[in-house]
Amino acid sequence: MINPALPFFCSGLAKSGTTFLQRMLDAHPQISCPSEHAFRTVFENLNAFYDAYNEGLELVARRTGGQKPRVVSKKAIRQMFVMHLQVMAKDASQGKPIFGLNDNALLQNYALFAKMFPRAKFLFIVRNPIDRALSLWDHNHKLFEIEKSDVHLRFLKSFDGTLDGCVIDIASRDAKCFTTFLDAVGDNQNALIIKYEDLSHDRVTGLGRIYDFLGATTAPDVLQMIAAESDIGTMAKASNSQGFF
Amino acid sequence: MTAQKPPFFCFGSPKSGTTFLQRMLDAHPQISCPSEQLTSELAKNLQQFYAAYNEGLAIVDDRTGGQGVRPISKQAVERIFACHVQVMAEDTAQGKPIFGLSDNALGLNIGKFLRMFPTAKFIRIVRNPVDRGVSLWRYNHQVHKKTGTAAFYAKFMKASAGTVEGCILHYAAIEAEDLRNFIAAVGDNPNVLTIRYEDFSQARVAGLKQVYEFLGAETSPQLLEELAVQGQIGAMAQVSKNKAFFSGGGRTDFGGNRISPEIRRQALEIVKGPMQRLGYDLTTLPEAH
Repeated sequence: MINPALPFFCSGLAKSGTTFLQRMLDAHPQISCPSEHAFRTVFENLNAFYDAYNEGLELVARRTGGQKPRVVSKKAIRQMFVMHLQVMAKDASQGKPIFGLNDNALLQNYALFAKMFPRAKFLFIVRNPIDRALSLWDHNHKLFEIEKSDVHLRFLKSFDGTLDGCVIDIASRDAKCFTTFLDAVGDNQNALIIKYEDLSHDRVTGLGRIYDFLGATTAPDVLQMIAAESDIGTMAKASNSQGFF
Repeated sequence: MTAQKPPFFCFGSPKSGTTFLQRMLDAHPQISCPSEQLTSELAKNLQQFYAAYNEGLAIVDDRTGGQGVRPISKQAVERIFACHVQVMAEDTAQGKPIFGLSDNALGLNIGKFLRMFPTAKFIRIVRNPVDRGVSLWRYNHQVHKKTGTAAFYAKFMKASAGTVEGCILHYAAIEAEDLRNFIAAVGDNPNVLTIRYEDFSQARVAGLKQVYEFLGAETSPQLLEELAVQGQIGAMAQVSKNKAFFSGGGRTDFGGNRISPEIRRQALEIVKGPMQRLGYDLTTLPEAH
């Protein structure tokens, strides 16, 4: 039986330190948090599949004596979605007792997830919009150079084409997004909001708070070891994609 | 898999009485068994989806520092499939305490289902290949006429060599192979019940009692009598929107006088081994009607 408090979820807007948070979680010996997921595609696939499946049930029912088929309900599909995430998180946990998943898009759908996983813990990382916009600007330029994908080009063309325009646009979007998000979070004790700047400036304290929130050990030697490993230079050195750092 | 009560499963080759079995189960006040499911479609979708999803995970991982992706494993996809089946059965149970699903194709994957649902109960219905072949022939002509699935019809006619006799012999060979695999996978597993359509049809009350008892449902004589009446082909056809489905009459006379003794002999020879293991007495055949 899967523990209903698990998995935990971590999220944040792109270039807010979400990968940093995910890596810090996964670096803990008791916590598993693999690289970023895309829950939306799971949800969309389930809905599309069961729309077609229910049509198939109706056809078969007509062909076999015309009984009224009992189609798979929307409630059942949501239940299946929850199970997908539970199984996915456990599957990737590598035997660690506290396991979770990271999906950046979750922050914008927090209310829905809080309803589907009422006992789960949620960690969100936020960052000031200026550094976030600068980082997004650089990241998308780099990815466009490497992948030549329209996705990155569309992002870069969505402003007036300047870095300043990007910063103002992102700040405006963040303001809207966070208003809705913070209203949804309210005073929920199962949601922890971390500022990237705090985690970056005083890593040991920031990590201690996060691990403590998840019920993992916060022994000083563990915190020191992970803080040392999480230096940007150290992470870049161990990475296959040093440009990301 | 979770510690939830698993669904039961019922299945069989098409035109073996699978809809009859499903309806008789669903007619019981304690049992839910909705019309036929297509779980192999679900399995196919999940496998394809997660293959693509894992590719997506690898792309995102590469874009975010290349830490190494943990793809969703085949075992996890199988667990997800089992969760879906569980939820589907519970979702359609309408509050009945004993719930299950019917899927004719399940027999082809019986080993996998036994592994995924080790405490579940399974009911397979079998029918002699001659009556099954005749029924398949009639049914596929009806379906083709109504829904115009030309490609399916052409494939069926080719496999049957264009005759009812060809249909009987072709599908008898498939059934023989399927039953051999089934018997090997099931062994003497007490959670698997195999029932013969002929027995069920000729002594309905006793057949229903056997099936309901196997699932732990009530078997009071009054209830069995009531359900046996509902289970008459004529009674089912009367309340159905698709009366033609019942036009074969659910015959159990091994082709009667519609099929030559030689074709009957050949068909039974093909399935003799597994059918005898399933308790068929092939030494004496019912009188031709």
